[in-house]
Amino acid sequence: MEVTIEFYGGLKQLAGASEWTLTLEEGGSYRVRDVLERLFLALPELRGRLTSLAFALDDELVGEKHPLVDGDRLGLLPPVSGG
Amino acid sequence: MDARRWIREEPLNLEALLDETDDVRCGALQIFAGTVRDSNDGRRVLSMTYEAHRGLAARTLEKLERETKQRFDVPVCRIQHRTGHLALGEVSVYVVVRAPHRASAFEAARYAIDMLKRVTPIWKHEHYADGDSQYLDGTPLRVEPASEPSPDSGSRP
Repeated sequence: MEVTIEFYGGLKQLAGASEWTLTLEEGGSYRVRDVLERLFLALPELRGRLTSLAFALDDELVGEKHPLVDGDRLGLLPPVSGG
Repeated sequence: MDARRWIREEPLNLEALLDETDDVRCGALQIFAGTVRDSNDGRRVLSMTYEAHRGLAARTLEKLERETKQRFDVPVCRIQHRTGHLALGEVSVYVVVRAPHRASAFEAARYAIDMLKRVTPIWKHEHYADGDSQYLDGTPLRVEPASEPSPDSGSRP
Protein backbone atom coordinates (compact mmCIF):
# COMPACT_ATOMS: atom_id res chain seq x y z
CA MET A 1 0.00 0.00 0.00
CA GLU A 2 1.08 3.60 -0.49
CA VAL A 3 0.94 6.56 1.86
CA THR A 4 1.94 10.03 0.74
CA ILE A 5 3.65 12.28 3.27
CA GLU A 6 3.06 16.01 2.75
CA PHE A 7 5.74 18.27 4.22
CA TYR A 8 4.61 21.69 5.42
CA GLY A 9 6.53 24.81 6.34
CA GLY A 10 10.24 24.35 6.84
CA LEU A 11 9.94 20.58 6.64
CA LYS A 12 9.94 20.92 2.86
CA GLN A 13 13.52 22.13 3.02
CA LEU A 14 14.46 19.23 5.28
CA ALA A 15 12.89 16.70 2.94
CA GLY A 16 13.99 18.42 -0.25
CA ALA A 17 10.46 18.02 -1.59
CA SER A 18 6.88 18.96 -0.78
CA GLU A 19 5.82 15.32 -0.61
CA TRP A 20 7.10 11.75 -0.56
CA THR A 21 5.22 8.57 -1.30
CA LEU A 22 6.09 5.58 0.87
CA THR A 23 5.34 2.05 -0.24
CA LEU A 24 4.45 -0.27 2.63
CA GLU A 25 4.09 -4.04 2.60
CA GLU A 26 0.59 -5.26 1.77
CA GLY A 27 -1.39 -7.07 4.38
CA GLY A 28 -0.08 -5.13 7.34
CA SER A 29 -1.94 -2.63 9.47
CA TYR A 30 -0.18 0.65 9.90
CA ARG A 31 -0.53 3.64 12.17
CA VAL A 32 0.97 7.10 11.85
CA ARG A 33 3.83 6.08 14.14
CA ASP A 34 4.78 3.18 11.86
CA VAL A 35 5.07 5.51 8.89
CA LEU A 36 7.10 7.98 10.93
CA GLU A 37 9.57 5.25 11.84
CA ARG A 38 10.04 4.55 8.13
CA LEU A 39 10.48 8.26 7.50
CA PHE A 40 13.09 8.61 10.24
CA LEU A 41 15.30 6.09 8.45
CA ALA A 42 15.53 8.45 5.51
CA LEU A 43 15.37 11.69 7.53
CA PRO A 44 17.00 11.07 10.90
CA GLU A 45 16.90 14.79 11.71
CA LEU A 46 13.12 14.52 11.85
CA ARG A 47 13.19 12.22 14.88
CA GLY A 48 14.58 14.99 17.06
CA ARG A 49 11.67 17.23 16.05
CA LEU A 50 8.94 14.69 16.67
CA THR A 51 7.57 16.27 19.84
CA SER A 52 6.94 19.55 18.02
CA LEU A 53 5.17 17.99 15.01
CA ALA A 54 1.47 17.58 14.40
CA PHE A 55 -0.17 15.26 11.87
CA ALA A 56 -3.10 15.94 9.55
CA LEU A 57 -5.29 13.42 7.77
CA ASP A 58 -8.48 14.28 5.86
CA ASP A 59 -8.27 17.89 7.10
CA GLU A 60 -8.16 16.87 10.76
CA LEU A 61 -5.40 16.61 13.31
CA VAL A 62 -4.67 13.02 14.31
CA GLY A 63 -2.32 11.39 16.78
CA GLU A 64 0.49 8.91 16.30
CA LYS A 65 -1.81 5.96 16.96
CA HIS A 66 -4.21 6.83 14.17
CA PRO A 67 -4.56 4.03 11.59
CA LEU A 68 -3.66 4.61 7.95
CA VAL A 69 -5.02 3.00 4.80
CA ASP A 70 -3.84 2.76 1.22
CA GLY A 71 -3.88 6.12 -0.51
CA ASP A 72 -3.85 8.25 2.62
CA ARG A 73 -2.14 11.63 2.47
CA LEU A 74 -0.55 12.41 5.83
CA GLY A 75 0.45 16.01 6.51
CA LEU A 76 3.46 16.67 8.73
CA LEU A 77 2.93 20.04 10.38
CA PRO A 78 5.74 21.90 12.14
CA PRO A 79 5.01 24.63 14.72
CA VAL A 80 2.72 27.26 13.20
CA SER A 81 3.33 30.96 12.63
CA GLY A 82 0.31 32.40 10.86
CA GLY A 83 -1.41 35.73 11.42
CA MET B 1 -16.95 23.58 2.98
CA ASP B 2 -15.53 26.19 0.63
CA ALA B 3 -12.06 26.92 1.98
CA ARG B 4 -12.01 30.25 0.09
CA ARG B 5 -14.33 31.65 2.72
CA TRP B 6 -11.35 31.61 5.08
CA ILE B 7 -8.21 31.14 2.98
CA ARG B 8 -7.51 33.26 -0.10
CA GLU B 9 -4.59 33.29 -2.51
CA GLU B 10 -5.30 36.81 -3.72
CA PRO B 11 -5.44 40.21 -1.94
CA LEU B 12 -8.10 40.21 0.75
CA ASN B 13 -11.22 42.31 0.24
CA LEU B 14 -12.22 44.17 3.39
CA GLU B 15 -15.20 45.83 1.74
CA ALA B 16 -16.64 42.43 0.88
CA LEU B 17 -16.22 41.28 4.48
CA LEU B 18 -17.92 44.43 5.76
CA ASP B 19 -20.81 44.01 3.31
CA GLU B 20 -21.17 40.36 4.29
CA THR B 21 -21.26 41.13 8.01
CA ASP B 22 -23.47 44.25 7.98
CA ASP B 23 -25.73 44.00 11.04
CA VAL B 24 -27.87 46.81 12.45
CA ARG B 25 -28.01 45.05 15.82
CA CYS B 26 -24.39 46.06 16.25
CA GLY B 27 -23.13 49.47 17.28
CA ALA B 28 -19.49 48.42 17.30
CA LEU B 29 -17.32 47.27 14.42
CA GLN B 30 -13.80 46.09 15.27
CA ILE B 31 -11.35 45.32 12.49
CA PHE B 32 -7.92 43.80 12.99
CA ALA B 33 -5.59 43.65 10.00
CA GLY B 34 -2.18 42.02 10.06
CA THR B 35 0.30 43.47 7.57
CA VAL B 36 3.79 42.54 6.44
CA ARG B 37 6.36 44.73 8.19
CA ASP B 38 9.85 45.54 7.08
CA SER B 39 11.86 44.07 9.92
CA ASN B 40 11.96 41.16 12.29
CA ASP B 41 14.55 40.34 14.93
CA GLY B 42 16.87 43.01 13.61
CA ARG B 43 16.75 41.75 10.04
CA ARG B 44 15.47 43.76 7.10
CA VAL B 45 12.50 41.96 5.57
CA LEU B 46 11.67 42.40 1.88
CA SER B 47 8.61 40.20 1.62
CA MET B 48 6.79 37.26 3.16
CA THR B 49 5.35 34.01 1.89
CA TYR B 50 2.49 32.42 3.78
CA GLU B 51 1.80 28.71 3.35
CA ALA B 52 -1.15 26.78 4.69
CA HIS B 53 -2.58 23.32 5.03
CA ARG B 54 -5.57 24.72 3.25
CA GLY B 55 -8.31 22.32 4.29
CA LEU B 56 -7.31 22.14 7.94
CA ALA B 57 -6.75 25.91 8.11
CA ALA B 58 -10.23 26.58 6.75
CA ARG B 59 -11.82 24.21 9.26
CA THR B 60 -9.76 25.74 12.06
CA LEU B 61 -10.79 29.31 11.22
CA GLU B 62 -14.43 28.34 10.82
CA LYS B 63 -14.32 26.76 14.27
CA LEU B 64 -12.51 29.79 15.70
CA GLU B 65 -15.20 32.12 14.36
CA ARG B 66 -17.92 30.06 16.07
CA GLU B 67 -15.97 29.79 19.30
CA THR B 68 -15.26 33.54 19.40
CA LYS B 69 -18.92 34.41 18.84
CA GLN B 70 -20.04 32.08 21.61
CA ARG B 71 -17.34 33.00 24.09
CA PHE B 72 -17.89 36.77 23.82
CA ASP B 73 -21.57 36.68 22.85
CA VAL B 74 -21.00 38.68 19.67
CA PRO B 75 -23.17 38.17 16.59
CA VAL B 76 -20.36 38.51 14.05
CA CYS B 77 -16.83 37.21 13.79
CA ARG B 78 -15.27 36.70 10.38
CA ILE B 79 -11.68 35.75 9.72
CA GLN B 80 -9.81 35.57 6.43
CA HIS B 81 -6.15 34.77 5.89
CA ARG B 82 -4.17 35.20 2.72
CA THR B 83 -1.55 32.76 1.44
CA GLY B 84 1.17 33.14 -1.17
CA HIS B 85 3.77 35.86 -1.60
CA LEU B 86 3.04 39.22 0.04
CA ALA B 87 4.91 42.51 -0.34
CA LEU B 88 5.63 44.88 2.54
CA GLY B 89 2.48 46.50 3.85
CA GLU B 90 0.10 43.99 2.30
CA VAL B 91 -2.60 42.52 4.51
CA SER B 92 -2.13 38.90 5.55
CA VAL B 93 -5.21 38.54 7.73
CA TYR B 94 -8.46 40.26 8.63
CA VAL B 95 -10.51 39.71 11.74
CA VAL B 96 -13.88 41.46 11.61
CA VAL B 97 -16.07 41.53 14.71
CA ARG B 98 -19.39 43.27 15.17
CA ALA B 99 -21.12 43.57 18.53
CA PRO B 100 -23.82 45.67 20.13
CA HIS B 101 -21.19 47.43 22.24
CA ARG B 102 -17.50 48.09 21.94
CA ALA B 103 -16.15 46.23 24.99
CA SER B 104 -16.98 42.78 23.69
CA ALA B 105 -15.98 43.76 20.15
CA PHE B 106 -12.46 44.69 21.31
CA GLU B 107 -12.09 41.56 23.42
CA ALA B 108 -13.44 39.19 20.78
CA ALA B 109 -11.20 40.52 18.04
CA ARG B 110 -8.13 40.27 20.23
CA TYR B 111 -9.00 36.74 21.27
CA ALA B 112 -9.55 35.68 17.66
CA ILE B 113 -6.20 36.90 16.37
CA ASP B 114 -4.31 35.65 19.43
CA MET B 115 -5.84 32.19 19.04
CA LEU B 116 -5.38 32.16 15.26
CA LYS B 117 -1.64 32.52 15.75
CA ARG B 118 -1.59 29.48 18.02
CA VAL B 119 -3.92 27.02 16.31
CA THR B 120 -4.00 27.65 12.55
CA PRO B 121 -1.81 25.53 10.25
CA ILE B 122 -0.20 28.46 8.46
CA TRP B 123 3.53 29.19 8.22
CA LYS B 124 5.48 32.40 7.58
CA HIS B 125 8.50 32.28 5.30
CA GLU B 126 10.42 35.55 5.55
CA HIS B 127 12.62 36.86 2.73
CA TYR B 128 15.49 39.15 3.77
CA ALA B 129 17.43 41.95 2.15
CA ASP B 130 20.66 39.93 2.31
CA GLY B 131 19.11 37.27 0.09
CA ASP B 132 18.51 34.78 2.89
CA SER B 133 15.11 33.46 3.92
CA GLN B 134 13.73 31.41 6.78
CA TYR B 135 10.59 29.85 8.13
CA LEU B 136 9.74 31.44 11.44
CA ASP B 137 9.62 29.47 14.68
CA GLY B 138 6.11 28.99 15.90
CA THR B 139 3.66 27.24 18.18
CA PRO B 140 3.31 23.44 18.09
CA LEU B 141 -0.20 22.27 17.27
CA ARG B 142 -1.83 19.82 19.62
CA VAL B 143 -4.39 17.18 18.76
CA GLU B 144 -7.42 17.07 21.04
CA PRO B 145 -7.71 13.86 23.08
CA ALA B 146 -11.03 12.91 21.41
CA SER B 147 -9.22 12.64 18.08
CA GLU B 148 -7.08 9.73 19.25
CA PRO B 149 -8.52 6.27 18.45
CA SER B 150 -8.74 3.72 21.25
CA PRO B 151 -5.78 1.35 21.51
CA ASP B 152 -8.04 -1.52 20.31
CA SER B 153 -9.09 0.13 17.05
CA GLY B 154 -6.94 -0.97 14.16
CA SER B 155 -8.97 -0.12 11.11
CA ARG B 156 -11.00 2.63 9.49
CA PRO B 157 -14.15 2.36 7.41
